[in-house]
Amino acid sequence: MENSLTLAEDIVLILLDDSSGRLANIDLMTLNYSMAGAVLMELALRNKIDTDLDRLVVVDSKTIGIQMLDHYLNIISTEINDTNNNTKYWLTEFSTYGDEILNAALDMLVDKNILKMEEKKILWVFGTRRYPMVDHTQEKEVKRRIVDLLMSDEIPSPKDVVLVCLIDTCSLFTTILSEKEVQHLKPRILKIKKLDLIGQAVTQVLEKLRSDIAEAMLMLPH
Amino acid sequence: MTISLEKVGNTLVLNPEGRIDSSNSENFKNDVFKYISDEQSPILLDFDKIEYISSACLRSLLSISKQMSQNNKKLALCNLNESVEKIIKVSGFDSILDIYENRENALEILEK
Repeated sequence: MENSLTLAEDIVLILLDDSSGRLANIDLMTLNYSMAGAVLMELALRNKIDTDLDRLVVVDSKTIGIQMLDHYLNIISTEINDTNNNTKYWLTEFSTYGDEILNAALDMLVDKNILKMEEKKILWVFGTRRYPMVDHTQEKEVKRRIVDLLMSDEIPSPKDVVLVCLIDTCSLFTTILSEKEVQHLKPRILKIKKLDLIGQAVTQVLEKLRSDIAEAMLMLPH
Repeated sequence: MTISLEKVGNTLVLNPEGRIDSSNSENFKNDVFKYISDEQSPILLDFDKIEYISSACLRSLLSISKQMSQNNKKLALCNLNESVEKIIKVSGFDSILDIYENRENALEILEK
């Protein structure tokens, strides 16, 4: 692995607004599937699961030593069978734990002194939480690496491929590049994004869900 | 999974055999790195005897082609069976790897 952070932590650093310490405004469905994708991609990068065009298999159920990843690896290892051994099933399953994965990533970043947690009360009643960044090193490194990759013809590393997938899925490229640059680099982003099969599955599941929702909206009586 | 080597003209041809998945993709990558480390010749991965590859193999191929590209060395693949060709195309690897139908076509280009 190129740095000590998990993919979920890398994505959370990009999701956080530096000045406010709050998460970028992305829809819950995208966030949940992206978090689920981050877990599956991480398990694949660590050779715990493997995929092809049809199947997902557990190849090594031994613990990694990172509680969040071990928890989800254990779920797949114990529940996988002939009817659910595919990537889309586990993406959908883990998307229901999207907030848990997000919170685990935030907690890990706080433990590593990269973020600090601040709780505030609004109107002395409603609690609100923000995560100001204490150490910007990791965030800057990830952003720099991804920008350098996109601006060149360089062949990406496997970890950079999955980061590009997740950043694009969450529509976060505009937080590290200008709108114009994103438009210009879109073909390169799509080419890199295609290189990961789990990333492709995340995109396909989200596109299908969005199209189902749009169809259902059209069916509503006016 | 085993890999045999042969030199054809100026090209080092690597002939892996069997399946490449997460159980052996790291070995595959490390073996290829070992063979190509001091090699200035173009490299041809002849997949004639490869039955199956998974996404773990794709990641190894990505790392191998990254290394080759950084060292300005030529890399090509040939003789993919139908299922291997399908996963390579669906994952877009045909856009970053030079792929040839057979060894003769690949060598013709690599030897230029």
